[in-house]
Amino acid sequence: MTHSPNAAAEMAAVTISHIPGREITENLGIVFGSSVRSRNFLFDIFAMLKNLFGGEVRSYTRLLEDAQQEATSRLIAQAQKLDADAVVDVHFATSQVAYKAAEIFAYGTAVRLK
Amino acid sequence: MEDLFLPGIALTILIGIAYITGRLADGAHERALRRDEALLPHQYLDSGDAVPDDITLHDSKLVTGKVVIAEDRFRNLLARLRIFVGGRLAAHEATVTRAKREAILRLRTNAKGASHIIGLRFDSAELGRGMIEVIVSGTALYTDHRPTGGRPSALPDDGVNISHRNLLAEFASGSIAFLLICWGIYTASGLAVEWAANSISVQEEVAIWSELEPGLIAEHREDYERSLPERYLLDLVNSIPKEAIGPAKDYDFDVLIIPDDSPNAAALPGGLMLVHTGMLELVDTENELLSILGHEIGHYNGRDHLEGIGREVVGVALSAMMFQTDAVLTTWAASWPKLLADRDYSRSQELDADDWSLRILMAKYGHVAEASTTFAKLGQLQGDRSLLDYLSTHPHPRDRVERLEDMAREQGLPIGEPVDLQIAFENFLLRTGEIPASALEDRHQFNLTNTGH
Repeated sequence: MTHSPNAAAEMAAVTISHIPGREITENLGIVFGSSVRSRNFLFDIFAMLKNLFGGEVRSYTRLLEDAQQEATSRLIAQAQKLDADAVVDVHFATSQVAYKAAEIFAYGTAVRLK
Repeated sequence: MEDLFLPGIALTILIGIAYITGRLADGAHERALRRDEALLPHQYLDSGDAVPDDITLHDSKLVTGKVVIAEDRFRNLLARLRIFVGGRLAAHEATVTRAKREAILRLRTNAKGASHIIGLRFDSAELGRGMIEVIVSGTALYTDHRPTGGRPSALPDDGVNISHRNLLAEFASGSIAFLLICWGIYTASGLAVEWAANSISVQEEVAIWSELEPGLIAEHREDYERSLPERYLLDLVNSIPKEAIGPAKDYDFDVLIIPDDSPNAAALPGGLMLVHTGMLELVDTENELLSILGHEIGHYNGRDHLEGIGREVVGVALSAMMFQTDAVLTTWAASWPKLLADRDYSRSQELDADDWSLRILMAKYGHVAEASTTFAKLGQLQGDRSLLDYLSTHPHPRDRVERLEDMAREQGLPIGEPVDLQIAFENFLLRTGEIPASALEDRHQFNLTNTGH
């Protein structure tokens, strides 16, 4: 399930503990969004070649980017289910969960604002 | 072929068991989480570091929750199939979500009596392949605050974090994509190898292989001396009119007889033909023998021996690149599209070589008697068609008999009187002065298969 980019744009998700200019009235608890993805094997072969010569592996950067975006939009979708106004103190973590597949997860605290 | 079936059956059973146990474990974990999450009192969870200012703090403590969940072999296979198309791994999303719920549950259990857990951080470890590790840490605040009721601050599977897909459907679509991709790769690499093999000249090939073949020859020949039957076979090959041989006329042919009961012959790089004694026992006439040797010469014309080696090398290199050595099942599964790609290619090679065999017989004897006799005999040995024949790299001998006969009929090639093999061999011995005519009284002494070293 992906969520429309509009939803992501409407709700603020920040890495600091407050939304500047707004007051937090209620703490709704922790929310998170996670994405597990793998890249096409062709990119794996390119990446292996890149490994010989060095340099940025753009296909893997794209993988992280896609996964991070999905994780963030899922985080916000979960916050919306709680009727939150914003997510503060957002952090990211990664792990390798399966063969050549990466998980990115975003977690933060859902809050209501005045 | 059998060596492809047996490991496959064993692996399929193992994966089937892994699928069942994995789903049972998933279900059990989900139920346990629901039960335990409902039992815990409400606690505020906060990924921020700020201590709320509306509470009186009595005590604080570092709390952690950790969990390691192993993926089952079925899910592992799904992940390995997924890398061929890329995208989300729905099965793993469900597990990582449950792993986090479990870690938070343990964190909250460790923080019993606390009203707030702040400064939550998630981390993971790399314990091993196929392990999902979650470590969550935070600071438990023991306060005067006693929350009542409220929303459970656990994280139920609310459908946000998991792509709901049927695992078996995903497995089926992943497998089909995987097999198609492998088939495409093996076919494409086969074409590349064919091009490469044809761009190596015969002289270059002979130069490369003359370094490698003495070992094989020394194993079977004393002092590199050809045996009488080998000299007869070579004489037969050299007696073929050069213009009938085609591109392979540049080879300096050699024939090596291998003591082996299976009726077989092979074309090695550099112009060395191998003939098993089993094959010599099978044939009755010189014409029949030449149909075999002509077939092998046909392989030289197509440079099939080089392509065969090239395909093996490329196949091994590709499998090593696409799957690591521990992926027994994907490697096994990939051997099927490889087999199919090789089969089509190899069959057309065999039929081309048959065409050359017919042409060579016609050039040598002026007729094509016995052109298909050996295949008819092999067909009898092989028996009826079965599924295995469908996958075999060679067409069924009976089909080849029909095809050769049709070709001879269509081209109006005459059928003459075949030359008996024993007589032809004896004539060769007399002609070359190897034995005096009187020695032929004890005829069986000079049988092709037992006169040797």
